[in-house]
Amino acid sequence: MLAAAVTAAMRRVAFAETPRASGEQQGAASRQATGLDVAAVRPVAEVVLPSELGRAGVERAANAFTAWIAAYRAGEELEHPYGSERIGTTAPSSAARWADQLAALDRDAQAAHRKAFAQCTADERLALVRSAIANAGGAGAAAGAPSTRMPSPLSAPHVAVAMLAHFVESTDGVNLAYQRRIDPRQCRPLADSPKLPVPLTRAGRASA
Amino acid sequence: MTFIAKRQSVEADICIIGSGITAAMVAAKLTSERRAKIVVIEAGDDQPPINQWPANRERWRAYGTSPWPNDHIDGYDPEGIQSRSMCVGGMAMHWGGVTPRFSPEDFKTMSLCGVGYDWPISYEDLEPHYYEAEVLMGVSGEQGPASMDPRAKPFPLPALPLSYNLGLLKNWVADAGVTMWSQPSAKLSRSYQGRGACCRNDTCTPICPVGAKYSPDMTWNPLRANKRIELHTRTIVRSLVHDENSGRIVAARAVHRDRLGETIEFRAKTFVVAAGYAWSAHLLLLSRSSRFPNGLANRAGLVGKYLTGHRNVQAFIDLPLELYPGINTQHSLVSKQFMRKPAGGAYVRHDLRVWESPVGREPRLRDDAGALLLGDDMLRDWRQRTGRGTARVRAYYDVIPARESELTLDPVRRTLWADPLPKLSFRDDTMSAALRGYTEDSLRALFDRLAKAGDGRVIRTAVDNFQDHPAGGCRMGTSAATGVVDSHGRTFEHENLFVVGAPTMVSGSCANGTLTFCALSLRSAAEIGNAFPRLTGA
Repeated sequence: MLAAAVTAAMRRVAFAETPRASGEQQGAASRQATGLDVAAVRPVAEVVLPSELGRAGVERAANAFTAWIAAYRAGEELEHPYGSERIGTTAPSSAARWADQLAALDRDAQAAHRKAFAQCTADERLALVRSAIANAGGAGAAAGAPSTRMPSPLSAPHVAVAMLAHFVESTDGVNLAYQRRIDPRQCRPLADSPKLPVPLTRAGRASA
Repeated sequence: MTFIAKRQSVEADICIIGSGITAAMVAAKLTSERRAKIVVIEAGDDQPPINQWPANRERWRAYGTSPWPNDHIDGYDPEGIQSRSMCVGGMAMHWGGVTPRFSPEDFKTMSLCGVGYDWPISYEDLEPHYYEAEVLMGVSGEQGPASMDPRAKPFPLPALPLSYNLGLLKNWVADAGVTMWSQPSAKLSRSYQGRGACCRNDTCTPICPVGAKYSPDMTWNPLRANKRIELHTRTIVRSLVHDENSGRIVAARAVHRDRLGETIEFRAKTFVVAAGYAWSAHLLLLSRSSRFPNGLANRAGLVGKYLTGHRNVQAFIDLPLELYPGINTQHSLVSKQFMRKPAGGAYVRHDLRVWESPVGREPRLRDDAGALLLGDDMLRDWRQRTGRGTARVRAYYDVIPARESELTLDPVRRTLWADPLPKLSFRDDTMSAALRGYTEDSLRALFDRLAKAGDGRVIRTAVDNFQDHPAGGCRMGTSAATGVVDSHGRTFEHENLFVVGAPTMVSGSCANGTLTFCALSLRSAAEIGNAFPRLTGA
C-alpha cells in the first residue's frame, strides 16, 4: 500500500517535470507565471542545444526549461548537507532578467538584420547569442581566463547559457552525451544495474 | 503562543530524550520486548510524510531546496557544530544509509597497536546487536572475506547488486591487490516489512523518494499509530532533575516551543538521553545543581570530552574504462583490508571505498582555449571526454581524540531560554596529530598505486579537515575515572540515567559510524529493559 502510494506520487511528479501538454499550452502557462515565453526561448534553444536532439527534443527541452523557471520560488530554504551548519535560501528568480535578455536578443536582431530574432537564420541567431553571452559577464565572460565549467542554470549569466545548463543536467542530456540510456536519477529496476545501458538509436530513444 | 506560567506533568516508565536513529532503536526494542509506558521528547518538528517525498525530492533536484523543511531550530547553531538537524528522525532523515560494521581491531587499538584507547567491550560483545540493527533497518549486504569481515549470521537482505560501473572498478582494484565488495546499506535490495525495494533514484542523500532507505520515522510512525509510545514534538528538555538523596533522576524539565511560559515535567523510572554527540553532553552539563555543580555524571570532568570522528582523504582517478556515470551513483565498493594495522611501520588504519564519478566527464561551457562551446560543439567536446572513466576513491582514517577534543558551555551565546549553547572543538591527541602527515601520505601513495595498476592517473586529491560521523562526549569506560557511562550506557553516578549511541563511543574508527551507534543503543536497550516486565511471548 505504501509502495503504491509512493509510485502514484512519483508518477504525478514525473508528469509535472516532463510536461505532456502542447508547446502552445506550455508557453501560455509559462508566460502567465514568469513572463518567460517558450516561444521566445525556442529560437534560442534551437541554436544552443545539440542538433541531434531534433525538433521534438529541442521543443521538449525548451518546455522543460520554461516550466522549471516558472516553478522557481525565491526565499525557499536550501538543503543543508552533512558538514554544513549554514542554512541558506534560494535567491530571487532570474526569470525577469532572462526575459529582458530575450527581448534584447530581439532588439539586437532588428538592429543587425532588420527582423525578429526568431526570423533570423540559425547562423545569425548563433552569432547574436554568442555576442550576448560575451557581454553578459559572469561565467560567460570572455575577459581574463574564464572557467571552462558549465555553470548551474540558476547562476548562468545569460538565458542561453541557463537553457544549455538546464539541458545538460537532464536525463536527456546525459543519455545523449553517452549515447546510452543511463537514465540517471530515474526510478529503474535495481536488477538492471549490472547491465551495460542500452544504446540510443535516436535522441532519447533506446534500441530494442 | 501563551506566556502564562504553568506546570504540566507527564508520567511514564521510560523517558527517551531525542528521536533520532538511536532513540528509534531503543524504542523499537523496548516496545517489542517489555511492558512499559514510553514517552519520547523531541525538540524539533515532524518531517513530511512519505507521500510528499517524491515532490520534495524533485524540488531539491531542480532548485537545491531542502527536502526536509523545518528540520532545524533557529538559534540552535552552536559554534563548531558540523550539521544542524533537530527534528523527528534527526540526522538520519537525510543520511546516506551506509552501514558498515566497525572491525574487531577498533575496540582494542591500545592492546593491539599501542595507540588510542581500548573500549570496555569487544566486537564480539556487539556482534549480536549489529545484527539486530541490520534486521530493524533492513540492511542489504555482501559478506566480505571472513578474516576481514566476521559475521555470525548472513545479512538480512541480499546485497545491492554491483552496477555495471562498479563491476569494472572491482576488477581494476583487484589488479592492485585490493579486495572489495558491495557496500552494506540500509537500502532494500527487495521489498521488506512493507517497504519497497530500491529503484536507483540515486538521491539516497538527502532523500530516498520511495522509502527504500531506512529512516527513523519508519520506526516512529507505527509505534505512534499503535500508541506504543507517546512522542512529544517541539519540546526542549532544559535540564534533568535528580533526587537529593539518591542521585537518581526524577524528572526531565522541558519547555514547549509554542508555550513559553509553561514548564513540562516528564517524570519516569528510567531516563535515556539519545540526543546525539552534541546535545547529550550539553544536557548533562546544563543539569547543574548544588550537589552536582559541574552537571550530571561529571564528577571526573569527562562529560563533553573526547569528541571523536574520522577524517578522510579522497581522490579522483582517471582510468581507461568506459564508465557510464549515473547507473547507481551513491552505491560503492568497500574494503576492510586496511582496517588492520600492517605489520611493521607506523600506525595507519583506514577503510577504502570506490564509486563511479562524473568528475572530468562533465559538459563544459568553454574549451581549454576559452572558446565558447554551444550546441554541437558542446556535445562533441563532452563526448570526447566520455571515452574514459573516473573513479572516486576515499579512505576514512583513524583519528584518536584528545581529552580536550571537547564540548563546553559557550560563555557568550545562549538559547531563547538563556541556557548556554554548546561549543564544540575537535582535537587529535598528540600521537594522532604526529601521525597525520604520514597517514595522509600513505593514502596518497595507495591512490597512486591504484591509478598505476589501471594505467590511470590521479586527477586530484583532497583532504577533508572536518571529522565525519562525530561522536563521543559521554564516552564509555570501565569506571567513573575513565568514562561517563559503563559499557551499557548507564551513567556511573546515576543508576537510572542512560546515554545511548554516538556519545558513548570511545573512538570513531575509520568507517561510517551509524550502524555502530545503533548497535550500541540496542545493547543499552537490552540493559534498560531488564528493569521492566517482559511482554508475553517476547
